[in-house]
Amino acid sequence: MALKKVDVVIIGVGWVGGIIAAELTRAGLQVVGLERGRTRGRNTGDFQDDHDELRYAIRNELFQNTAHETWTLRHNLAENALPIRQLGSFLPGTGLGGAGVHWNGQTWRFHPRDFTAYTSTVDRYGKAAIPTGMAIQDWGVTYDELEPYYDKFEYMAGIAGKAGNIKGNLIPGGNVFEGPRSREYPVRAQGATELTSLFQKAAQELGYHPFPGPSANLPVQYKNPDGVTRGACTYCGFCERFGCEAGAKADPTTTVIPLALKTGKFELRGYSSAYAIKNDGKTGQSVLYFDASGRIQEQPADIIVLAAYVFNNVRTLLMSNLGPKYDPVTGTGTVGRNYCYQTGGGGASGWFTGQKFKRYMGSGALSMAIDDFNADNFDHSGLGFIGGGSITSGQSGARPIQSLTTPPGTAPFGRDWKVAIQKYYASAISVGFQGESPAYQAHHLDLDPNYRDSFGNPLIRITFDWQPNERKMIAFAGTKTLEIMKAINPDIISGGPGSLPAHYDTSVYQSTHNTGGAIMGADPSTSVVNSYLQMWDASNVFVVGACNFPQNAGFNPTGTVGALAYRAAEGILKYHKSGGSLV
Amino acid sequence: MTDEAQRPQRRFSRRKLLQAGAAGAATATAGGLLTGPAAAAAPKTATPALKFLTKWEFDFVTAMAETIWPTDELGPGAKVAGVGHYIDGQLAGGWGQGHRFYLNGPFFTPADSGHGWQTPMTPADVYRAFLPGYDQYLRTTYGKPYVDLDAATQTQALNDLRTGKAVIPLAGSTAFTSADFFTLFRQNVLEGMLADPSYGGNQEMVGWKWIGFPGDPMRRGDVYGQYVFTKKPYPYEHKPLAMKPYKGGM
Repeated sequence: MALKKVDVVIIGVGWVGGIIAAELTRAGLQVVGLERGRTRGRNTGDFQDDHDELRYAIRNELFQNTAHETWTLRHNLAENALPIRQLGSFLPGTGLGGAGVHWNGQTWRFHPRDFTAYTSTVDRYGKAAIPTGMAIQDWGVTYDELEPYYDKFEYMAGIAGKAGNIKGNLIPGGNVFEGPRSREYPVRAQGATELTSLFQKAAQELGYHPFPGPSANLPVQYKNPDGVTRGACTYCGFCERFGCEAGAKADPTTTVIPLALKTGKFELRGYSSAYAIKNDGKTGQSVLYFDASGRIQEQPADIIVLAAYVFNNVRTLLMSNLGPKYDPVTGTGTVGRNYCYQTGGGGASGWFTGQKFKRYMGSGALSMAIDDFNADNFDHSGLGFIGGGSITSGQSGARPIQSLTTPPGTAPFGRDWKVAIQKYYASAISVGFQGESPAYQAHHLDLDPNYRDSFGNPLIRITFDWQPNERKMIAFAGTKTLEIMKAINPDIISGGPGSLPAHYDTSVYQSTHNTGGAIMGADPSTSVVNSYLQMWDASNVFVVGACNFPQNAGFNPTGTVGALAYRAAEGILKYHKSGGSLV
Repeated sequence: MTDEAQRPQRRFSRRKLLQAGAAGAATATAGGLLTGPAAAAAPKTATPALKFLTKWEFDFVTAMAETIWPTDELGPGAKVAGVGHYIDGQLAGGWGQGHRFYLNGPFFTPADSGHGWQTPMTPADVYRAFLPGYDQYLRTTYGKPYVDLDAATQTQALNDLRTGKAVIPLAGSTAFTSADFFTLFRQNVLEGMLADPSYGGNQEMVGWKWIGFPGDPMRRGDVYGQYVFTKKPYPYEHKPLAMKPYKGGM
């Protein structure tokens, strides 16, 4: 028997679910939030005296438990997909706040060009510049249209940074390649450390445009427009994979979710694993989920919001037979289309022999960056690839198990290695590259035919591998990071043209920036949702998150995810009032 | 263990330190200098009983761990740090028992690289199944079990794993190579040297002291903000503090 109908049911309560819940409940709607993990028992106090690298960073306490639910991966359509049997390449969160609890806090806006990647590329380089099989698309929304929502997210989360473009006026010291902002960041940028100032100085000398990486780690106390006050960062160095004991890292559990709960109109249900939307092909009627005792529950609602991580948003649509399933052979259909990732590699490393840095101090987004080789900020003529990435040197805290680094040629173990780790633990510097991940016709998400989760439902199958365009991009990136490293001039340098492994490797951590599968756009035949993240095929169903990205940009995704969540919330309120399609 | 090793050490020699094993530890400063006899005191924590490993397995992995991070005149290594007990605890616990591993079938050999762990075995199963095969390889190749090999041969023996030269069928299967085992084992040794001491390794925080990691910043009141943007050295890099023990709130 179905439960009592509510205005809105949200699947997944992380950044997206939290933002939408806060906006809707404060407008008076009755909202139920279904969270597959815990809904309490983890707050700032719980993370005190808890700087435990093994528990959180190695044994993965805050992440999805792959024994119950994982994904399968094949590199091409002909291969048998194999399960990802333990976490490796990416680390989706679980429990209240989702990955918003354990992220680093690097909070970017995508470039205006990123939202028109296809059109901009064709306009500048011609259609022939897009390799066969590549399937990049425009977003169906422009940067200018999203700007107010970026602004709203940044002011809510208290993003620390230095604007490089306010209403078209370029500001040295900020990112002069960014799209125009309506105003300055809400919080002053984090400062430069001994380490990050080396990068800043070197990049400056080379004629590039360094600026402080935008950060959700507060350098000073901040009160946001919702009236939420958070304290300053202690630079403990335990951000990524950990919760913040100071509340300095913006986190949905310390910002938007309490606002929603305060209204009395937000009911949170923990250990509730949603798997399908009951629908008639035009309207979503209710959400089916397993409750804490494993029984199926049915929650009817006027509006249904999918706010889980990329994979489960897509899986729920596929399990519901809602929207046309993507066919990678013909390139038709939409649900599962354009799965993308983030292209890492192409970094350079350096070691000083007489200089030590306090590398164990830091915060997740404490960095200096350049944007000169991202997106289309540089001329790609003759380079043989499209796209680019951000180049950064950060100081996010060198937790020891994961931060031992030795120069090339060092023995992998034994006395010489032991001497080397002592010598270089505190004296290493790295310059990293985070590249775009363009879409391809073959890359997609669907339901695996063989493997199931602990409830008996099929796992998501990922079809993805590195392509020649990205290999060329990474080779190029390696020459740029090496150039900067040479200008930094440590005693030992390792770098040069970057390379990607023979195949995408699910066992090595790269990035929790999975995207696509329920992409946005202006055309129902090539996108799942419109520019308000409303489904073309069911106007009362909203699907929101990095799953909306038609392809991934050379920046961390959360800023854009937050902006989309605020835009979706506005759309949902409009829909609640007048119904119908919002575009 | 020799009687000599159990007596307080007055002087350090490579030989004595190697003999001292778990009882004798010397800490090091940033420059690798010994801090003096006081540092050689036996770890204050009681030696725990084994939870998963057999004595034979324990001695085997402890000796292998010593090859990764040796005890020498520069400072203590894996045995002194309790890496064997760390690994024992991990194999007995959730990780070793595969509590977060997806172990559902079907299993088959990957067509290409990049698929990670593709065996129905847990990490504890892998250790248990791998060590006898490796022992057999060592007896055949070098004529002795690992613990009886000299240090140079032990290094060679581990390199045989790392490079894949030693082909060790894991209980008759080739789904988990010797290089995979080496990667897994080396990672476990790093954890045992550098995780919080509450997990049984890194006793006396010897791993942290060696590299200059000051431990849990909360124990000194989260004061890094006063240092991170300055050139001011942080005075506690070689005086780490572990996470605060909790005795209960009642």
